[in-house]
Amino acid sequence: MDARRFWRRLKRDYGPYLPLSPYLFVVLFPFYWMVITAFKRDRDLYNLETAPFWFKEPPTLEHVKLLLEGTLFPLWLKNSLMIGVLVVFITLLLALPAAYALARMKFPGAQPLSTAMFLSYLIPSTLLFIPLSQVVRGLGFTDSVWALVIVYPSFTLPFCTWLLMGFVRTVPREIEESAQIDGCTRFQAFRMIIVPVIVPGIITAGIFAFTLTYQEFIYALTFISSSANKTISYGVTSDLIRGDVFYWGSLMAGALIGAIPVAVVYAFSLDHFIHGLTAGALK
Amino acid sequence: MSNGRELIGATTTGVAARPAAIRGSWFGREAVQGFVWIAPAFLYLAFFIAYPFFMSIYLSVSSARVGSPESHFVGAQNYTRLFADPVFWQTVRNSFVFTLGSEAIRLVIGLPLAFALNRSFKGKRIVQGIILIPFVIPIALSSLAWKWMFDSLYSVINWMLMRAHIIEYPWQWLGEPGLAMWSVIIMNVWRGFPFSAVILLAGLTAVPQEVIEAAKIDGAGPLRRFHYVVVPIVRPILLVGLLYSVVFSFTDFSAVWLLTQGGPYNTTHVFGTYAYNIGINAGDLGMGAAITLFIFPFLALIVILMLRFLRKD
Amino acid sequence: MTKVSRRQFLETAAGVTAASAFPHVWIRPAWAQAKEVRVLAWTHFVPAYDKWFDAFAEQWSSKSGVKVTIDHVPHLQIPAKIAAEIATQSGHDIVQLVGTGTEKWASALLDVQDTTDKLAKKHGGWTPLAENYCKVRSDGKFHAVPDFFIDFPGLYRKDLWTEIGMPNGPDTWEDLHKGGMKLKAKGFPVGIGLAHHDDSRASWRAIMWSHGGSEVAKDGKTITYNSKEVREALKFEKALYKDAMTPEVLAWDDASNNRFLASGRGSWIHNPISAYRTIEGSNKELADKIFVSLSPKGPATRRSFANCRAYGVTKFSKNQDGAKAFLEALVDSYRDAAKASTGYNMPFLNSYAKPPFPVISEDPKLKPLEQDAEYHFTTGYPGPLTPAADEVYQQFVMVDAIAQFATDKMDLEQTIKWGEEKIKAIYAKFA
Repeated sequence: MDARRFWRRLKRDYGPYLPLSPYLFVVLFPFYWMVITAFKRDRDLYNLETAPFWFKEPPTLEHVKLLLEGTLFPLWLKNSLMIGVLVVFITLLLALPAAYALARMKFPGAQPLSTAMFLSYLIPSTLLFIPLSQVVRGLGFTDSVWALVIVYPSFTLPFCTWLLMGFVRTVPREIEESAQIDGCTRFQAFRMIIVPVIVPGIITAGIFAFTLTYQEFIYALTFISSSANKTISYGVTSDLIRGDVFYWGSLMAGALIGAIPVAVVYAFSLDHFIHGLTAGALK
Repeated sequence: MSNGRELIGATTTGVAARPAAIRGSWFGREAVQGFVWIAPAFLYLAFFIAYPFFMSIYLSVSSARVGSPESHFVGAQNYTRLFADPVFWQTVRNSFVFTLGSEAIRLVIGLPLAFALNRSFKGKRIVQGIILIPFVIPIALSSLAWKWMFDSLYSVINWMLMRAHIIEYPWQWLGEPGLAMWSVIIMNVWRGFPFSAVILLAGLTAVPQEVIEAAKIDGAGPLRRFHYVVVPIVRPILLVGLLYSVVFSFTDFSAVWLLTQGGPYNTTHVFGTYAYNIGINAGDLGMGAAITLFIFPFLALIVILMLRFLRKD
Repeated sequence: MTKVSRRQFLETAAGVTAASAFPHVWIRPAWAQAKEVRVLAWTHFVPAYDKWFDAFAEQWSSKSGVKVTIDHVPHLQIPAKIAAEIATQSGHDIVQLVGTGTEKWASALLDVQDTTDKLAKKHGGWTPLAENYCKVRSDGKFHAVPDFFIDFPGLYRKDLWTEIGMPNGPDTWEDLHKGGMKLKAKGFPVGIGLAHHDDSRASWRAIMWSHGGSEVAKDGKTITYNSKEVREALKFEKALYKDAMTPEVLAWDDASNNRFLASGRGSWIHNPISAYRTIEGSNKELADKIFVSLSPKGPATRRSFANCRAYGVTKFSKNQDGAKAFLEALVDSYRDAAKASTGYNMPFLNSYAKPPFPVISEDPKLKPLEQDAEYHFTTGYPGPLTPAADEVYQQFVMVDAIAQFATDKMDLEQTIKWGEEKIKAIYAKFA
């Protein structure tokens, strides 16, 4: 009896690991290999004979040192994270009122405007970056992280607005109407009723926006010149590829250090994210 | 009663009618108020999307080149030249294959993963974090990592496959024409499947257990349960996730560029990379703009098809 | 309500953190500083050169009172940067032209004839290659200051080639083919990239020219791709690929042939000496076995590809005189620069284009490079470097044609037709 209960508990607590193992392998193997590469000496790395999965010569911290001291990587990381947070704020600041208005208010042109909002999401950044550089220049933001902060919402705003519109619609009208009867203004109803209820939606939109911002490459390439203002994506690819030499060890270290903190944050907010998506479906 | 259909409705239906009694106090100012509320967002869009977009359209019908400031109107010349360019059509095909192929594989891989994550088990949070890593690494950096994994000489994948006697000679992951497209798709799938799994997981959690139980009691088999119960609830979530994911792939530039620059001989060029090579490297801004503008109608086509498919009742 | 005030709090917190996070942005002055010169340059393939360059800029800054800052950018990103800067009419005062020729940028770059005349007078005049690269045909003036060119000799493993009876490496392309075949059988193939990167479009052109073929005629307008010589070249190229190389070259980038040689497996590559220098730094015993030979000769002649570098002064620069003065000083110091580059930078000025060369003439291994200035030509050969020729270069037409033919995707006639049509379509844009 004890044995049977033991196996049953094992199955309950660890069962999913069986189907999960191929996924963990596929994800972990490149990750593990990246970790090894980050600490392997160059002689060991560029040796066709040795196994890529362990060290023949003792591991070295020189790649990590080059990354952290020889480049401005910590600054790039800070830039990327800061830009991400600011852009999420700006996006939400613009998107929430717009989503509410488009979803709830009746005014001429609401319909075509919401379609336009949706369609503008489909316009790719590779199309816009040359004319956009003229706009940015006109505003005086050359070679500055602020150029990115003001430009990035252009691809987060449409999607987040569209997403938030859906969430706004899930709030039952009756609640707003009863608030109005109680004497609230539109804005108060928005602030005190809608916003709190769609917090999961806000978190969801925020996560989408942050991901898009953190990943972005081409605007950073176009608008930033000095090393101090670079983001992770652009900084690592420009400073760790010197001529015809790829500093693979440092590149891998950069990729990992750039990913891990964000992965941790995502892991913790995943439940909210899922709750947010499902809240849009259920009521 | 609101349900998931509301999300789909967001794209097409307008605001529903409301009882006349209440309309009074808010309605009067609504026309103006509405504009005030949307003003910041739309002003931003006008400045940062609409204006550059129309500039790009102008570029595509002009003879603009990077070095020369004077350019003149040339009508549809860039477009006719493009249509006559076999590499352009190859690019169109590649873009579709890349996007749709990646998406399909991601969903297929993501579904079992979503099922596995739907249960609670020890260490779930850590596993969630690990699974998310490919999605969270900036794509410019994960492309580089894969580039090294696919390297013509030092590929760790070849090393493993050869040691396991699955292949006899090193494969040129980025050098062989058909294989290169697969390699690019593999990388795209690797970095995107966590997101697909999360979307599917959200869908699965959205289906309340009671509804499934009720269906079971009604005698519905797993397939029927899936089709009539799970799918309608999951659809709107799928739509959101798919849209985000498909647009991200279709408009991609850095992933393909860093891996293959569109090679070998243009077999992996997608809109983003071909436009960049023509517009920036070769300096033909007009044609580069024309190529990128093509993303728009093709993407709209995919999105409309997606919406139609997911709206089917 | 709790939720609202939390939001307000977060917003204020964000505002404060934002302001404190980027203080340097507020303090940084605008680009319009008359006493400043900003340079956009590539990340040199020989890191030692960049160290010298940065130090040179600092010294000149303190002597002249004009602050020079250099932004080093990977060469593949330079076109995007220049494009954005010209579009916004703001950016660097000096931009480096990396392989593309000056003519396509002519209207955005200053006429620098005065500077180039001074340099020409002092140093015996410019080589024809320098003039080709920097003179604009429409007004006959220099719109960029030539700096140096990069040569493509052969780097070979003396030990391996001695074993098969060619102790001085292959002298002709046919030698390379025959020798490469033997070495490949022994496990040491040769390698020339056949993909979308700089080395490819350089090397395969060298082969084509050595066979007497070319894309365009001397007039720079008549397309000569459809010719007997080009057909011969294509057939040879396919044989070379199939017999002496492995398919890995289809996936190469600019760094791959360096790694190929460094791995010990490669027996011959077509590359400037940066590859040799890197190996010297990491694997002395392998480096001792590597020697330099002239770029091989073809049935018609010996020709190789010169990847050129020049500096243009942007018309929107607020410190044009300072920029020109800096460039004059820089090119004046060519000998020091060449030394710093360990022999990588090849000369554009006549007085430097003959021995003794810094570094190269002192090292018996590198002595063959002394002749490089005589037989290196650039895009558009035998015609001038026109924007049309450059676009053919940028779109990898040559490389794609050869790759498709060598991998049997197209037969000879299809390849010629494909290449010719594409070249004609591009030239038509500039007619």
